[in-house]
Amino acid sequence: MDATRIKPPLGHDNAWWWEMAADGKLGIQRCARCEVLRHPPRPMCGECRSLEWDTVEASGKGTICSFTVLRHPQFPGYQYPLIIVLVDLEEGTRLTSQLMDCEPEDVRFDMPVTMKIHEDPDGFKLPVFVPAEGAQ
Amino acid sequence: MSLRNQAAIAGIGLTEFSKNSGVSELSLAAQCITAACDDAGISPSEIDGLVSYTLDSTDEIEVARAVGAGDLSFFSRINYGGGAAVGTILQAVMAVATGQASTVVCWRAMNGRSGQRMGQGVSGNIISSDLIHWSWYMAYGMLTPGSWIALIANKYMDTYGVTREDLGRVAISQRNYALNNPRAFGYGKPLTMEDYLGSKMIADPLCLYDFCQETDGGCAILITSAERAKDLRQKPAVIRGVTQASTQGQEQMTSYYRSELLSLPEMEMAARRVYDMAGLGPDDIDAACLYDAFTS
Repeated sequence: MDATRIKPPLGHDNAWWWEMAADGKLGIQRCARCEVLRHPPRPMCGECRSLEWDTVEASGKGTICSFTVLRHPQFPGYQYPLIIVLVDLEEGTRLTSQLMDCEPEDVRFDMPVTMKIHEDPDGFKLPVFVPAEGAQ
Repeated sequence: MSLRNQAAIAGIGLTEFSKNSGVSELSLAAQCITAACDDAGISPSEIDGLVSYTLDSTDEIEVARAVGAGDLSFFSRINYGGGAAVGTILQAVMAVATGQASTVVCWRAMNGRSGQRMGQGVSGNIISSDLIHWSWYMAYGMLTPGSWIALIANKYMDTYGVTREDLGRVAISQRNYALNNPRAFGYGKPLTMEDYLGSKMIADPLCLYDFCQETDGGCAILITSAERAKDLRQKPAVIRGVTQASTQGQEQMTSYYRSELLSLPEMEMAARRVYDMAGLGPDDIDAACLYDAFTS
């Protein structure tokens, strides 16, 4: 079998996010007391110190806050050139991801993007983004 | 109590810097620490404190045995890679000022090119908050410091109209400092703007020469009381100000989630604290040695 991407260690604080991804969803953690959204996930709310939290499913709509195109070094398990994006979700949180279905020279700041779930040949699923319809 | 003028740098020791040291990191550590002691005119047997980075692979007690240090009454470690450098000095100054130790050596020794290089990823089933932090990036292929920095550099250039030529001038300035330094990899090797612009892109907008060298080597600094340092071999560098800083919402290399992406408030906090402690301001400074592994 070909080399695969580096898998995240799955612990109490992050496993749920990857399980949601495997289920086809982009999750955002929400404080159950003050309802502040947070990403990356943390066990405690930094605003009200509550340990209680639940999740919301993101719409998957966002815009590109920043991006880079990774060309070297090339690690097994990833496709190059690899477009990495920092996405502002419409819910207000930000996350890093990969942009697919787009040429490196066509990426733009503030470009609208849409989440889709990508599945690797080994079955691992992760949220990635593609240009929103009409964005290019 | 103020730490101002309590302690001084009495010796500095360096190994050769190379792409393949041919020796262990423990050997590099032992070499730079004894060189710092020689510089100060102090026997390694007088060392009673050691400080390094959490990233350093060598245990204090291994170093102590290797150099024939005395009994240790103080040892500690600072996290966060290259940003630990000044933090180790703060540890040593506090230890000396509070009497926990009299002769403290801060060291960092690494086979940064021939040994484990940056960006080799994490693997295995160990779960820690640190590994979970990195996994948000590594799963997507962001495995190197350059890949983390590039997201901020690209946004900064777009927002402020910074050009590749601007970054090129930083790279060329750095290389010019190395030109006359026989210890430096860039000794006698000038870099032109044409070389810079023609080099391959690594992580847009950063090209090859926007990155620092990967180097094997070690460096140690011997710190003792300002009073004692007066009588040692070298004219001491008395430490007037030293601090650490971390501000709200900071992440290691990936402070992407604060509303302001393009400033490092940690830098402002560190500067304010160190100027206050020293009783000096920017206008008083006429030489600076700044740490950054990238032009951006």
